[in-house]
Amino acid sequence: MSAFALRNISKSYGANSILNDVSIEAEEGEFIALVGPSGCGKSTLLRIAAGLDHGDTGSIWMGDREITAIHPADRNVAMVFQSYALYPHLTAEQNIAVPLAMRNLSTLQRMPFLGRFVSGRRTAQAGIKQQVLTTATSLQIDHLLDRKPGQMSGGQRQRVALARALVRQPGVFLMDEPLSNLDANLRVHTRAEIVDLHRRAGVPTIYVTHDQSEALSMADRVAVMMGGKVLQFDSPASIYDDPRHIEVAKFVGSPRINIINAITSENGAVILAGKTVAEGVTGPVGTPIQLAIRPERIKLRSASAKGIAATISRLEFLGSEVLVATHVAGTEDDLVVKAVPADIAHLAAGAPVTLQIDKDACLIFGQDGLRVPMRTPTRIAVDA
Amino acid sequence: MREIATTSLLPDNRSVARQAAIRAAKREERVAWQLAAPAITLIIVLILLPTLAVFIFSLTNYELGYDDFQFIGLDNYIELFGDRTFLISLKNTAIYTAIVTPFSVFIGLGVALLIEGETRGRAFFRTVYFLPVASLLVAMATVFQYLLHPTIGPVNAMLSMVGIAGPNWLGSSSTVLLSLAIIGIWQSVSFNMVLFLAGLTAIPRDLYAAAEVDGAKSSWERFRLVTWPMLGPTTLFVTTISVINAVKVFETVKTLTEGGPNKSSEVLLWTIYQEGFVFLRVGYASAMTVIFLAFLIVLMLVQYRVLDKRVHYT
Amino acid sequence: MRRIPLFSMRNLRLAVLSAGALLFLAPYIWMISTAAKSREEIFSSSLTLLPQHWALWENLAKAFSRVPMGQLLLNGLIVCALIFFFQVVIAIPCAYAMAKLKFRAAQTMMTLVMLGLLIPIHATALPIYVALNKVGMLNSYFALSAPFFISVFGIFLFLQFFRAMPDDLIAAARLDGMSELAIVNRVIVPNAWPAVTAFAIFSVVAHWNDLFWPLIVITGTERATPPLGLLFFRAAEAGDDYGALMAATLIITLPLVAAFLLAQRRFIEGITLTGLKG
Repeated sequence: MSAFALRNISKSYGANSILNDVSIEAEEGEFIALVGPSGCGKSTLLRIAAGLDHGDTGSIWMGDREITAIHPADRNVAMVFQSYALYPHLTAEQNIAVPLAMRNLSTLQRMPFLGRFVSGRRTAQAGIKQQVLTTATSLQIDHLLDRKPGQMSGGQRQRVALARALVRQPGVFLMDEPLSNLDANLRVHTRAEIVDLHRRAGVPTIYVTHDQSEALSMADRVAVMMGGKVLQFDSPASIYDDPRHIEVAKFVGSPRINIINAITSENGAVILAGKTVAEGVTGPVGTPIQLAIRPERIKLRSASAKGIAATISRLEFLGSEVLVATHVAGTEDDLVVKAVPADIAHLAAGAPVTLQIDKDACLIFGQDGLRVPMRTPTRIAVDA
Repeated sequence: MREIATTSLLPDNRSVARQAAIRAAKREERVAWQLAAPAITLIIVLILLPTLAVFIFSLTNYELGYDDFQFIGLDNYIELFGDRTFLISLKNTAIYTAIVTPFSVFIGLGVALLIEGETRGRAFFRTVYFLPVASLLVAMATVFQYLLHPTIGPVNAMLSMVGIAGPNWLGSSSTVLLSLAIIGIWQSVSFNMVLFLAGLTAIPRDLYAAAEVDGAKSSWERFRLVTWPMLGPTTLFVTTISVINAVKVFETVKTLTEGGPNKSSEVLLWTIYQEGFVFLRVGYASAMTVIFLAFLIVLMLVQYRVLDKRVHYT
Repeated sequence: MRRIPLFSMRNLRLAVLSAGALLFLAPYIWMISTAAKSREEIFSSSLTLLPQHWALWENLAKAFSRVPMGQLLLNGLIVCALIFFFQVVIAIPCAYAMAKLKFRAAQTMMTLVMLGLLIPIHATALPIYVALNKVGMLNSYFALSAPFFISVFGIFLFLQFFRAMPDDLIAAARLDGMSELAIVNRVIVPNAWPAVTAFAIFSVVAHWNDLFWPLIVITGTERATPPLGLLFFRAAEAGDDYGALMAATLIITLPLVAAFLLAQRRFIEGITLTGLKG
């Protein structure tokens, strides 16, 4: 039994299907990333998890308790919004205190003016103040507690939003692109911090992002969503090395994976510029397939070496590495190779080179986008 | 040597660049003046000078038709505060404002909240509640006069059906201000509703979602936590405008009661109008206008002060 | 679709809204109903909405024969058009200079505009009236419209709008060789269309409905605007012939209400802007 689960969720607006039989579950203390291009339904799924939206079918579970029909306030979820959604008229301290006040104080105690005279309010409030301070200190924002959101920087607001979610012990954390409004430097730094906070709190987390590198680097498991469907729900290593769908392969990894259209030959061989690059593809001879290969799995050798002959069409210097676009006779698109600067010393656009491709690095996808089974396993996926 | 050469060259270079900069700035300044000149002239002629003139008139015994006049110092103001009509007028304006403002603000807010929350027929309701703003007040006042007519009016006809003898709404001194206030409320609710609707749409949806997740279960709690504070600036605006518009009540009084019966609907602008444009006592009416203007300025200052203190939102 | 119980909060809300809407519509309903009733019927049965004998045409004919309705509507149109034209032509260049040109007096101008926002026509009416009287220009279109040729609210509105326009756009126009006036005419105005329409609605609603100023400067029906004309009509009828009176009311209310129904969204935007005026 998982700590938090969304089961068979579907939702559509009229003929427009937003979510199509989506299931995601998080184990105790697990960090799940939902990743996909915008409009893939990931944010809707998160809002359904929070109870802010409702699916047409499916159920939501927290442990063995079904919470599908339960009001967001009673679900014991905490959410960090992309816009942070801080109450602009309240100070940081008051913002962080809201979820506690709503739960620990009675309606009477929260009344303006009158609330002051209701017994027990003082002790309850002292407790809240203490909890807010502890959380704020752990996020190093205790010096900002008197400020209003308008007087804080983006990064500071983001921390207050995190603190508001962290201040109580929720059954699950939901985060909707919490880093997308930060600048690049701060984003990388905050990534590590969120992962660290998550480890300490030990609460299952569902984290929505459109940034595949964020998803791969932070999560224990990643769900890649497209067009309202989960294409693959797996560990980051499996998502990267062993994608089940060509869209997953294309979405994950930068620079993008190379795709070559080809046709199978005898014994399920795939031949590129006269060289066999893969073998054992199932199906009849002449099946059109798509061969996908990551740029770092292609080796760049001198023109005299054995392999596939190619010409350099463009060089992109990135510092520690160089992206080399190469053209192979008989193919449409350039093949991008990730090389180290030493490999391309004295080479320029137009220079002839040789490409060497590991057979076990080739991923074969059928016309339907799914991986084509191999007669002999070309590679054994290693789960991290 | 080289360094000396460059430094000796610099002033020359700089002066060419600087002269160009000065010329461009001058040109821009000249064009700006040309573009703004008509507006500046008209602001002076149509707003500043007349306002100044009102202050000066208020210190004279100027009457239209008599060409010579004397400065009489503060005599007009002294007379004002012994003038029974003016004092009644102040009192009535205050009562009218005190009725119209709270009702029109809170009903306006209520209607806006209901329309915002209701998905069925939202466009229809918005149109209906907005209609009074687009309608000619003089015309609608006439309709109200018929509705409130003591003998043939539908309102009293309805009241008599349930056995209540309706009052002579606009004709009796005890109900005339209330009747005018009802018309005032009818019109400003409409206007305030539109402003509140605009304010409501500006509240980020995420805040409501956050409030729900944070534990605000009932719509009342979400209103307290999000809507009311977020509408703060709008509410302040709406309240100030409502007060100002109520202080400026004139059309309905002119159309329906002309200050009567027995001065019981005598209001500030009506009194000014009577003194200045009917009795042509320009000096005396100017003193009243100065008081009226002072009210408006105080109201605006209060609004700015509250705004400064309370609102530093993003 | 979840089923809604009959006495749910939602239905209660709908009921309250509908009842309120009926209350708001009541004056219009009775206006139309009374305009269609004969004199006898008005006195006998005020709660019946549908008249037994349709007298709408008689009432309309009476309204048109006693007061020059066409003239009133035309006057209203001329005055509103004159006011709006001058307001825009004067306010836009000024707002542009304040928003986009370096200009030593800009700060002073801002103070002037803020000051101007505070002072309504009611405060400046006396001296302007005295002046118009001195030069013998009362009872004219000029007297009706001239005091409103400057709209500080318009300047304020356009200023806010122009400030949000990118400076690059103006820099590009300058590089293309446009003069500042050409920039205003060919770059600023076409892009300021939303602000201009909103301001147009604000301005027309305010001046079509204004009674105070026309009452002061106009004495005859020849130059009377619709509200003033209606007032004259009431005086002439001694306020007794409600059928004819409601018919006149109907005619005079109709143009703006019809315009509102046709361009509702723009109207609401325009009126919402008035809120800024404070």
